[in-house]
Amino acid sequence: MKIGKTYWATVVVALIASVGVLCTKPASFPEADYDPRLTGGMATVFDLSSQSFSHPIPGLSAWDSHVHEKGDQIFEQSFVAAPAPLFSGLGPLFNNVSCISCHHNDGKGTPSFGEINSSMLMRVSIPGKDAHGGPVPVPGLGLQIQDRSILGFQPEASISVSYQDSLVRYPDGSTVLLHVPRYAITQPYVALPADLLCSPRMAPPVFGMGLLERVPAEEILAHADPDDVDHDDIKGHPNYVYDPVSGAQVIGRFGLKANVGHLLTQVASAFQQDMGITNSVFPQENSTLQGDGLHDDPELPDSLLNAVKFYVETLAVPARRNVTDAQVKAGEQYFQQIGCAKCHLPTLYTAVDVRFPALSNQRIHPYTDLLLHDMGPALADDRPDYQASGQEWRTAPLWGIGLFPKTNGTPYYLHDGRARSLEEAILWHGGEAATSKNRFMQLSSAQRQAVISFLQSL
Amino acid sequence: MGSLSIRFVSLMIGFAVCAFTLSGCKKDEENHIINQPALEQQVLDDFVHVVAIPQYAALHAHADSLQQTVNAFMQSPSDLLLQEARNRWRLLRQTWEQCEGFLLGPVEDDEYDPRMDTWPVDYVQMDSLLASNVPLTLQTVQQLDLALRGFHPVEYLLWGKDGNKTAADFTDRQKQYLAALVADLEQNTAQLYQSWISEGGNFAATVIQAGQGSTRYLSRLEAFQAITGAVAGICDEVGNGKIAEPFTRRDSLITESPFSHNSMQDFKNNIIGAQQVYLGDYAGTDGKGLTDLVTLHNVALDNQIRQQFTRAIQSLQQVTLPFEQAIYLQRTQLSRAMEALADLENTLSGDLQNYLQQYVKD
Repeated sequence: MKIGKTYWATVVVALIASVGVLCTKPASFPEADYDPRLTGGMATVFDLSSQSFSHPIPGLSAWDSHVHEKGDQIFEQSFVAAPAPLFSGLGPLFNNVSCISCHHNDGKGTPSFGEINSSMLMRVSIPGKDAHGGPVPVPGLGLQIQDRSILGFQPEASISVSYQDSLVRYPDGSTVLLHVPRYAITQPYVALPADLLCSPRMAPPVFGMGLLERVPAEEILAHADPDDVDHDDIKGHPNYVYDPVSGAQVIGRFGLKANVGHLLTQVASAFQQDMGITNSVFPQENSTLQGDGLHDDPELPDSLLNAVKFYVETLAVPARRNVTDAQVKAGEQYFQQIGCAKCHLPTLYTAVDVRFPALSNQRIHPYTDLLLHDMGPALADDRPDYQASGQEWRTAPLWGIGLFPKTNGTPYYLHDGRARSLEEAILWHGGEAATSKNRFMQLSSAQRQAVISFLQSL
Repeated sequence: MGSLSIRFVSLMIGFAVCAFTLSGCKKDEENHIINQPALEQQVLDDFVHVVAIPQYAALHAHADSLQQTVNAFMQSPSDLLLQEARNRWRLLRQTWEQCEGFLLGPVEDDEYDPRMDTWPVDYVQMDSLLASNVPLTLQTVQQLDLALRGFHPVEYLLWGKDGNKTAADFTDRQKQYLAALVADLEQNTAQLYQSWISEGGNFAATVIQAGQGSTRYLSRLEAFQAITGAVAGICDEVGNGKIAEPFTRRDSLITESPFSHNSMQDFKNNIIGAQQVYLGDYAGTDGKGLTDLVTLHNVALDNQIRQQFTRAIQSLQQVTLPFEQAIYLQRTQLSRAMEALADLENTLSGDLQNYLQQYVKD
């Protein structure tokens, strides 16, 4: 009797214990146990020099490293006019001669319209939608103004920018001057239509693209709130764009308005539109009126196109710095509290991809939701792009933003580089971000500095 | 008594030995603690004032002297002056390639490298430019694409496609283009020098004030990492890019200085430039360099780095033919050079960076 009772009691206790263990085990890895420095998960590198955006993801095979290296060379190569024995096919119309000339150190450009090596471009269109729902090209100019040409051809136009100051006053009395840009298109090759729509763009950074491409569409959609069901004034919806590679409508991820779905399309269109180098995805020269008269298209071999796509796909993300610093940690809390993190989502997960372990199933911190948000009239380009309205932009990823002074010397922020500091960039926010911006302005000077310090740690 | 006194004496000796040992240890440690930050600062100061600024000054002086020779050649073309211009171009290249041992700061931020050193040259456009009636002045040249400006279009004009051009071969348009290109180089090198000195852009202060107000380098460690990254970067570029690409493809069209056959010199000068940064020495001035920091805690690592620099430079010297021929005829020597460069690069970006991470605490 006695033995029996003890026996059953033991069994029951053991059962309860084992059930308890089984239940709690899957949730046993607390948030705090993740290393907050690992911005790109396994695809993170520790370098805070000017080359911090230029490292391959860890664990590439010898062959993959070779392809990455090849892509790196082509990314840096200045192309020349056809016919030439090597790197042929530049222009006849173009914006720049190499990838690296705009994407400085694999990072971003500078607001340099009119300069010889400008890392800016002007997208143009006329109102309406094309057969796929995208913007309608301007007759004679297409969807982008190529403001340079090889000898014997005429650039489509010259573009210049001038700035006016605009004073912003904090509740505590301190002030900041914002730089308000005005763009002028002069010497157009064809008469500009009266209803011309323009969108100036500065080259964005190109690292971490392989991770962003692997964030599942469901994960992006899970954060969308197009009807503002939660009444926080922040909506967020995905862009859906036509992808010429797959011939299908796909969710947009790349480009400042999420107007490109796949990396290959992004790279191929940059070659064709920005450099005038035709390829298998875009086999026509970028100008309908000024062809090069050569029957050499596509000018770029697929092997090189794919190597450059592979290169940006396998560029790692730099690790965060100073994550234990008290001011940085405080800034991170304010960033959450005032609502920045609602769109600049700290954490996303990538899908499983057995081809690239370092990109597969990673917990990453890009600080973007990859969704479109209304940013208000001050930042608007008033040029719709697929589902993106003239006031909407894709939430810019913030990873690596603290390293821009290293990679670029003097850093500039936002889609056209109008902000000369992180503080100016915050103050430009409007629309769905107006509430957060106002809360930022209510913070004390020390608290605002903490937010900036947090951003500098990214 | 006797045994007591012996015990006392041995006790005293024991104390003395202990005290001596302790003071010995303490002194040594104090030396490190007191001197290391000062040495770190000295290394940064000397990088700026012994290595970087004097080299940019020399670069500008060489560009200036090339311009003078080209102007003289414009006035009265002769084969003698042409040869003199070629010699001065080589001197300018030597300094530039050594400056590439530290591609950081303005040279990188403001794209001096692509503005001066884009290759291969764009023959097609150069020929159509020369055949056109576009005026060839400094202003128009500065509006040209990068592949039409800098050292290599100058090289193409001075040597000709086959390297055997004479003064009589020069057309008026070629002379004008040459003069404008050289004026452009002179201006770029002047601006690059200005961007470092305190009377100009003062990038010197950005480096020297690392960890003490520098907006770019928040600690001395960051500055050392940037310098080491640049030094390792050029070793990688020479081994894995400049040599490996033409070597692997067996293609002499993609070499760096094909008209003057100066490519092997270019490579060697790149590594000498990197070595000068590591040692903190330039033009006979013996400054403090990374080497002095490394010997503080790891003499073996310093020896290894010095030997690997020497071996890399020697292995490049083993290639006796011009690079354009060596990629077909001296492949063994080139393989060895690439191996030596890879070893050096691995040590610099591995062991040296780890060393700095471990020992530079500011």
